[in-house]
Amino acid sequence: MSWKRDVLREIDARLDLPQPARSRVILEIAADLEDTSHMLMERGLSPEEAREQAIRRFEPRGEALSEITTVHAAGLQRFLGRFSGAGRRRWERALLLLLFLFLLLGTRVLLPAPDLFKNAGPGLLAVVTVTVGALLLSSFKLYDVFVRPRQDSRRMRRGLDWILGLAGVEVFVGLSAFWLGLYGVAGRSAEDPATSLLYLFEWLVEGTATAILALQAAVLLSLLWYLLSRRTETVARFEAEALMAAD
Amino acid sequence: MEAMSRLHVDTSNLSRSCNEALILGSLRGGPRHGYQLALEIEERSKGMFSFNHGTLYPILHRLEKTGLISGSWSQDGGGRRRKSYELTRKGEKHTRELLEAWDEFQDAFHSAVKGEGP
Repeated sequence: MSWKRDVLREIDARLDLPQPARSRVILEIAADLEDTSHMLMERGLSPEEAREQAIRRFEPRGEALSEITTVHAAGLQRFLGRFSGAGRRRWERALLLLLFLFLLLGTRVLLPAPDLFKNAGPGLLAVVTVTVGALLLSSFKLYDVFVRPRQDSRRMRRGLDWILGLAGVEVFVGLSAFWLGLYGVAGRSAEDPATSLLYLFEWLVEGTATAILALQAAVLLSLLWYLLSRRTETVARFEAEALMAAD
Repeated sequence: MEAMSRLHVDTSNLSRSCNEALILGSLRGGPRHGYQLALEIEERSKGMFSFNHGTLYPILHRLEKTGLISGSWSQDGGGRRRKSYELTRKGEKHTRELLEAWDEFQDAFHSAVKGEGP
């Protein structure tokens, strides 16, 4: 077992910091701990003495650790830190709910033309259902990745690919609705060729509106997935580096 | 009357003010890693200011957040990443003023304890 591991693990366990700040602090201390030991050896101490003295010098002190937490706490966490544990949980739930409502209402705003909803065909219900489900999942993941105080990359990664999967489902639903509409128009035109042009225009309006909504939702979800994945990768990289530094 | 420097030593938290001045003063010599700062301060003060290294990081990180020093990561031959700190331009100016403020503080302290005065 590495001589640094215990002290670094203790610091890691006591640092109430979001990632990747927590791993950055561990990385910095790990490198300094090792260099201190080397420097003490250069001054004539035996390797064992140098390690012991280095560990003593870096022994975590509660006051220093809580000060590091204060320095690195994100604005939102500093704000939440003013409340008691229970009050904080209530605030976090309220913020999560607000975030979800914003995303839900934002869908209506982000998708620009209200006429699109009016003109969309039967595929709209499926598109909206998938979008609401995906945004709900995204809200939880946004909380996991950006708000939750004790972050770890495994929990952050859990369910993340579902968002991208649902974006794919949006594309599938939108394009299926589009081509199924054309199939329906073809059938009706064959029965009543005189009105085929009317059916064709109806399909064009309905089908394209549904496809546009589905594609926009897919783009929005893909962007959310990208944002969450990037952050998760950064955290995972720093966690891995911090673990390697301890070995 | 002698012109007073604009900065003042924060006597409400003398230990923190002292540590900040020691760190900023050491960084005037060029970029340093955290452990180098601690060892150098200890050596130069002949053991008077002996740090638990853990107490250095909150000070370094706070100074970095306020833009007085900047930290940069580098990689050594073995692929290990380490962080070093250096004074920013703002930090250099602040340090000059802070050290003047410490001189004034020291004079005032001596006058007070030794009963010397104008």
